[in-house]
Amino acid sequence: MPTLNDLKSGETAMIKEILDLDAATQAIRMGIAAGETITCIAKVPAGPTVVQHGGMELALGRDLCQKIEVVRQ
Amino acid sequence: MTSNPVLVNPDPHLCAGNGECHQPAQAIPADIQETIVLAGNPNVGKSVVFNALTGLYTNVSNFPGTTVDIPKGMLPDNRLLKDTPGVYGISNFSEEEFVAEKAILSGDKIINVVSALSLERDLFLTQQIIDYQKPMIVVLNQMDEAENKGLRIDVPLLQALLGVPVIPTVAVTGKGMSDILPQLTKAALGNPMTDCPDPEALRQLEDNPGRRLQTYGSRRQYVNSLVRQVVSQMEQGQHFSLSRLMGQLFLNPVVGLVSGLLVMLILYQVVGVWIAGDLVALTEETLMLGYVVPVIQKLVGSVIASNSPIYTILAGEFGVLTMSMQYIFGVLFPLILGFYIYISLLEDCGYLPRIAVLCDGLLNKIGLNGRAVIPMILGFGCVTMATVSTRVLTSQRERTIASIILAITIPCSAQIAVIVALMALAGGLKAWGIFIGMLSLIMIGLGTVLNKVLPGKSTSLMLDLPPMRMPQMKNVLRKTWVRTVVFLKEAAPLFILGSLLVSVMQVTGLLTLTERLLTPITVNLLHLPSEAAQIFIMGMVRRDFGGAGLFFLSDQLTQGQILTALLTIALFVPCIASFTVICKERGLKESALTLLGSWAVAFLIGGLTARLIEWTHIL
Repeated sequence: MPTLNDLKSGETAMIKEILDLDAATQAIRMGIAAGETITCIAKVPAGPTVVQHGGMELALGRDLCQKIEVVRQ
Repeated sequence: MTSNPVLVNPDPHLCAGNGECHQPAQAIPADIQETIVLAGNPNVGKSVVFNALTGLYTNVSNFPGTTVDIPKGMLPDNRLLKDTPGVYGISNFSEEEFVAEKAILSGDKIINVVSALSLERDLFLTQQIIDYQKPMIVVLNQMDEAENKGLRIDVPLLQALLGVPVIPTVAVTGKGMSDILPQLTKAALGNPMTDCPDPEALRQLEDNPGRRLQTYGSRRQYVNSLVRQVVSQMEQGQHFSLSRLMGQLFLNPVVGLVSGLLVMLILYQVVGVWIAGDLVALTEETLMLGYVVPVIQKLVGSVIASNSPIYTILAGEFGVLTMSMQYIFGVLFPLILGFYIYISLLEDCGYLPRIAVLCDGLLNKIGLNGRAVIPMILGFGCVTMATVSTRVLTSQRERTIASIILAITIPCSAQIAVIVALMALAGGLKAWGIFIGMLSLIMIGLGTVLNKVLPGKSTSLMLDLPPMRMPQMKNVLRKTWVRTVVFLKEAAPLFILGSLLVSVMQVTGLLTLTERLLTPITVNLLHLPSEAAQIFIMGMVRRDFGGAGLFFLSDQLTQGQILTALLTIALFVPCIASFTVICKERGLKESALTLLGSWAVAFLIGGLTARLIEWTHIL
């Protein structure tokens, strides 16, 4: 299953699951949760991925992205 | 009854937590009728609303996580208005969220500021406050930016669905702001989400980290359905947006590196060359040494004989009146003013959060995440306020690492200003290279060790990036002015204390004795003249006095000695104010270790640098 780390800048994907309870709880408040569609707008090499969703840009650390499974669209 | 706003806490950065400030705070009247709490996500314009309502200044920065304490102001009819740190929900993932949670749940009425640009994100908190059944109104801000993006929001429908008054505003231009207070009387409990438990039961559920995801999930779905009904995108297709383009650009590592270097070069040119060189020559030499100091000496001399110890204490070489005037107004004031304008500009345009993203990978290696860039950069302003701002970090582990690194390796702005000025004397670019190289090496070493030694695991970055914006000059200047004034108010008494201490020591002969006692360190270890002991004594009172003292000695030193002394002072103990805050925030044991550690590191690295420079003849 691809994770957020596998997305390239410009790709859109649907979140399948966030495999970290604390992160999932924090992210759902901002609108990022399983079933939501996000667009990767930037990827720092060996660093965070920046996604866009509902007028918001969110940067997620590499370790965390590894725990967010996505389905490319 | 007062209708004028009462100044309680103008700058959250400079408060040491627990409500204690360097700034003398005016008392809040005892007969508070009502407590009103301003709540909202980060960067939605909460502070601008606070200013408009109270007529007061709070720090408005385009960076989540800079309001760490709670600014308060009075509204007409003895109502107290509290600002809170920006949060995404009533939870307790960080100290900051804990502070906001406490304030929101204890308020009588809530003014919830939301951004029209990101309703999907913002309404989660709104709905949560409604679910907790707090009387509230919603301020729908940034309406102009939403219109520009082609977003249409059905305000009457939103008001009907939420069941609370909704006031559309454009806070930066003041549009709609005068409607807020009148609407406050209509604050309502609103409509809880479908199948919402009563507030007590909800609190129990959402206080439980294992169970709250479920209610959060229901609320998220409820909020998404509200947003679908209320928001419509008018025109399809993206407009060209400079802000967006810039935001993307600064996330590119190459652009980030180049812009970072550019930012430092400009800082060097403006603060180091123009202000520290040209302007300080004018303020210190022409104004202070040419006019003010001789006048003070003449005045004091007309009352006290110029060969008496009292004269030396008041108007001598380290005189309480003469040296304080010369340093505070001649040297520090112009430097601090320049530095704060610069930092405020960077803060307000949205540049810093992008730097946080770029630095995340590197900071992970020392047990921190990109978020730690916030306290680090603020640390360059003032270590005291930066230590308080480590509250934005999520775990205690990260707070410990950040506080120690701040205390030891990050020089504060007052110090940097002096450092920048002295660097030109110490050999320019090469000296900068050694200085920054050494500090970075120590930071990496220290962080790596702490990351290995401390138990647990640090958290991953999750940072919401605000749009890049043109900084508002009015805001930048106001912020700079308040910071500078607060800095001077804090610095002046300690500076006077410092010069009193040193001149009393001079008169009593203690200074020569201390200089002799410290000879093994100053002369043998650091290869500096024995007078350098003065610098360290003053540096203990306030970090930058050490630097200022060095300024004074600099014509007697070689370039290598200036650099060695600079590096030692930069690593040296944090000032009294920041040490007090470290004690408060991190506990006695950790503070004592930080203090001893900083001494050991400072003298060790100072000695090493002195030898390195001598052996390699690099300067």
